[in-house]
Amino acid sequence: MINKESLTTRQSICIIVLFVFGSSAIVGGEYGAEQDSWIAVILAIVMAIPLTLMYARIMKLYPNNDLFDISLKVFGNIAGRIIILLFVLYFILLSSLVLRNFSEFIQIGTLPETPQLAILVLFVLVAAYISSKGIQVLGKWCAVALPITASIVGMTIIFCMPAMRLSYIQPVFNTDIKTIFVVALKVLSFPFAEIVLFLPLASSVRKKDSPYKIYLLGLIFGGLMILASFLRNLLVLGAPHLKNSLFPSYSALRIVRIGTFLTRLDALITSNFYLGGFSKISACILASSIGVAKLFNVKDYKSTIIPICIIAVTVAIIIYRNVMEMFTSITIYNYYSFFFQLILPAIIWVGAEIKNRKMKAGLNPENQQDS
Amino acid sequence: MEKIKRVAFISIKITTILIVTMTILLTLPGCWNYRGLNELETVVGVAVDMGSEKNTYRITFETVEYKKAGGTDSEFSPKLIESEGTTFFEAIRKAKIMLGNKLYFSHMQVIILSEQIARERLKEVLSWYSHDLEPRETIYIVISREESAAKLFEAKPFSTDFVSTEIFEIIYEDPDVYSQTINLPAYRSYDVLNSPGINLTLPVFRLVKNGNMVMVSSDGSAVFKEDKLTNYITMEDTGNLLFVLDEVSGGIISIDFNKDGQNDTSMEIKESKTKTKVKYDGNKVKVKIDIKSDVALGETPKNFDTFNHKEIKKLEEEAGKHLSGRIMETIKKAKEMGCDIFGFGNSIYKNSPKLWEKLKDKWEMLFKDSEVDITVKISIKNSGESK
Repeated sequence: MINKESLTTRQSICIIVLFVFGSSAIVGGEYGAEQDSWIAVILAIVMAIPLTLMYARIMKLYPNNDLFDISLKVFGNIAGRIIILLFVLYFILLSSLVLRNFSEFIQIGTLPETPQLAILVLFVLVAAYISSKGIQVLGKWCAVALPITASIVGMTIIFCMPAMRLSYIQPVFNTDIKTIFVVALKVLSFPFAEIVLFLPLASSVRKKDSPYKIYLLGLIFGGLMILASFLRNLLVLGAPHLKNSLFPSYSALRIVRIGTFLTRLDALITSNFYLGGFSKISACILASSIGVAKLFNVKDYKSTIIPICIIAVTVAIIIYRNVMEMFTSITIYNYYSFFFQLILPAIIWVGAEIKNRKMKAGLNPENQQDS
Repeated sequence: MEKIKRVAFISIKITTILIVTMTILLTLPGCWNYRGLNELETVVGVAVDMGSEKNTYRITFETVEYKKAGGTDSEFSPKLIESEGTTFFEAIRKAKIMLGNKLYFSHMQVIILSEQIARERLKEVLSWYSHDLEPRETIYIVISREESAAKLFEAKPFSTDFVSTEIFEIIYEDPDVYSQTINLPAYRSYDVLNSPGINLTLPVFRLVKNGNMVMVSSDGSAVFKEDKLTNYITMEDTGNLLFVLDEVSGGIISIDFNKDGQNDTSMEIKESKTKTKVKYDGNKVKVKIDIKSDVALGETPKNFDTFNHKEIKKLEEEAGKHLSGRIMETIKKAKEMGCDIFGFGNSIYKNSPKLWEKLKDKWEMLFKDSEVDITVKISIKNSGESK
């Protein structure tokens, strides 16, 4: 553990932002509150702040440790391993969900006759390669990919401006508070609270970097990107069309026509989805392989990457019968994901706090510097 | 010796990489779903009629024949194909039984509906178009005023090679030039159809004779109640409707300034802005429409002094009065039909959705009794090249 790879603050933030924005670049445009969904998105960002503060606190308590190390240290060998197992299952599931989003979109949008397996395998191979090169490579990749993604979001907004109708945002607050709150919870669980996945990568964050800063900036920047894309889609398409569309960003960009030369810019959205979604898949694979390595006491996590990729692809193929199921199952995902995003981290956090206090009481000079 | 070995090893490695990359690059890209021009029938327009049997569709496709493709002197001409089926999609794919190539819809420009389809089946057509990924969201849906939708394809296109592109260009460029054709891309018709408090209007086309040539021409618009065509309005009414909807950015206002029964002044609209406020005071709906237009003089009456501010002012007022009178007429007609094509109800829904919930059931009555107040402010910005 001497030659540990480390991430800079900037790279960590980039990973989080791309992770938040990744799948939202294309799926999950209409959240259920029609033209008021943007309020729900803002509410979800606000609700995500305490969650991220909790994640950051866990990181702060055990710097240079990842989520799995922490659960082993706090809960001992057996209980800690059970928690690791649960998390690993969640991360593998998450990677296969994102993979399936990918292949479905590519099949519907661009390559209708290519079998999904081919798309899945090609994608997962690249993701496996980047994970096998380690967290630092992922960080550098995200630092390159984020400026491209963000500028594409900015560009598409500018291109869409002539087609926008501000009146589409009205009526404002037509949805009752309860619905908005429920929608906000949905948005919170997918995608905001998914950044719990950064905790397994946390061991690479340098001790001097503040985890609070990393988490909050990542959340807010990613949230703003999602908000901006949602408003763009709403103002171009209008609430009825937005509700009807499976891939609203894609539909919105198909409409743009500036003069006769700048038309059919949907490729921009597709490339954004490739960049963001690919980063998300890589992060998922990396996190689960680190988890599996810790679970079975494997020294080098790299040897677990390929088996995990195979499992993820298989699960991605069998998990839904069709694309409709993919969209309706988000509702179920909202429920069980809260267990991994809120309850398990909360248990770990409380355990870590207690352990930390006890250690301090025992006057462990090492941990005293921490507080 | 050691070094030579290493260099040899590296060069072998580089060659292997090159060979592998070349193989992949030459074989993989682009060819998986390769469809060349010769393997496609590119559809530019679709006309939908009722079929010969009950509950069937007859669809006529206008497709591209490539006489000479490539370079600057490509030549195209239209080719028509007809097909019938019990559903829209079935009829489309059924065309394959008499074609060597599959129909390809990405370049489709318009869907022409016959009157009967517009009266009964608009939702079905919109449903196909929104599910299929090939046609673009920006196509236009138009209604044919001839006995069938396919009849429009008999016209001879004047500026383009196909009737469909001709219709597309007529609609697409209309707001800047003449402003008397509804310019509503299909994705927005879907929105209008699914928004409360506004009736859908779609452009109508018919055949006209120009010399000995038969051409297509825009001719007013069709008014829908829910998704059923009920009425037609004339071209002038469409122009007035566009003023209220704030969709005007061009067009001509002609007035009779000298009051001698003959229009003597015309002005071209450069820019126009409309603000509509709809209020409900307990038993009546009050609408206030505010139009501000910048125009340029095109023709002036005899002995008119364009440098005389008083004269200009008088002309502006006269034009404003004329325009508000024109629009009032159209609103009266719409009230008679009971069709809120201006979206006054939608304006209430957008600004106070709670009030709309109470009013929506009796909206048709409220719309018929509504009080409309129009103020038009026309400012003449220039007089072209001469005084």
